[in-house]
Amino acid sequence: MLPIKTSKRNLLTIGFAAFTLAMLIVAAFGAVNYNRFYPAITQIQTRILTLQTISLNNIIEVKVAFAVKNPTDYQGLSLSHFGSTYSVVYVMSPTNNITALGGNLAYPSMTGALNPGTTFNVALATFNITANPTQMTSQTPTMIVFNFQPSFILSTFLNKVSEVIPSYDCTSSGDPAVCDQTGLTLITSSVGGGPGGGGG
Amino acid sequence: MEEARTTATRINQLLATENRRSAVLIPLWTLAMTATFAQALFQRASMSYFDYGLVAAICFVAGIIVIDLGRALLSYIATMAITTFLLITLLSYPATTTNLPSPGNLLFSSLWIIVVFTTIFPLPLIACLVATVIGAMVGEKYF
Repeated sequence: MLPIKTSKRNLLTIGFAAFTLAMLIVAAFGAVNYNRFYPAITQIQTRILTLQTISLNNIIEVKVAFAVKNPTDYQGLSLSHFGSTYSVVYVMSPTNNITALGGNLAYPSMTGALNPGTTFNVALATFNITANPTQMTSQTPTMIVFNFQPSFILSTFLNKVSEVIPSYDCTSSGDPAVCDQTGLTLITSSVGGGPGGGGG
Repeated sequence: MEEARTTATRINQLLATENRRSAVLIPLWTLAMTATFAQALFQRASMSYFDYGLVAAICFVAGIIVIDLGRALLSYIATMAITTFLLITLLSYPATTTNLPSPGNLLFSSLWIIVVFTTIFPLPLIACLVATVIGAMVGEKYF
């Protein structure tokens, strides 16, 4: 229809406009998914699945299991290198607490897809704590509260340029508990002297 | 038939002068470049060889349409400047409007600026410039 009085150059311009429109449609689909990425990484839920304590004389064996869930409908996230530090608060009396820094929990290397709505269970970790922090007085604590600071590498579409590491804070005295996201760290890889990480 | 003729006349009027053609082409060129870069960065945060080929092809065709070498170079500079600005805005905006915990809220914007600059500069910028120049020469010869 159009070539009736349209020059080759004008036809090429029309073709260029059509191509631009096609590319805009392709980019729009990508943009929709990209817009869901940031809410998704802030909504990744980490929680203490189980926290068991077994008293063995003056030692308490603690077994803790975490679960990570992607509650959003964003696809393309996976988890690797789960790790956690912990500290223990011995509540001796309403006005007297003793905090003991625990250290790192050892986890085997693991990876798992965080598909929409699915939960990834992290392997159980076991560690020992003393049952009585004040050996001299033999006063036993009325309650022991555990603080965990789990974090993991979130594999995303950004993998070529940066690793995304969300970190959490969980407090529990034995019950399952939901962790709060406390920070989001980026570690750049191949983009040169980019923004480095930092604690949350 | 009459409708087609009217449309053709309107298009011919729209592209009647070189200035009008540039006024139409520069936004189209910018949108095509932005969309091509953006669709790759939205999915992989990097460009594939195919994406770079597509960008070079866009510049080549734009060069053919412009024909005039000087005008093509100026259009190219304007296009790349606006494309870079649009890309950084498109990529950073969702990160700044989402309530991200620190320090991610600050780092994502910096990351995207670096990603955009390393994606565009320097080789793709030069390659696209060369494609534009070649396109303009081809256009001059055949159009």
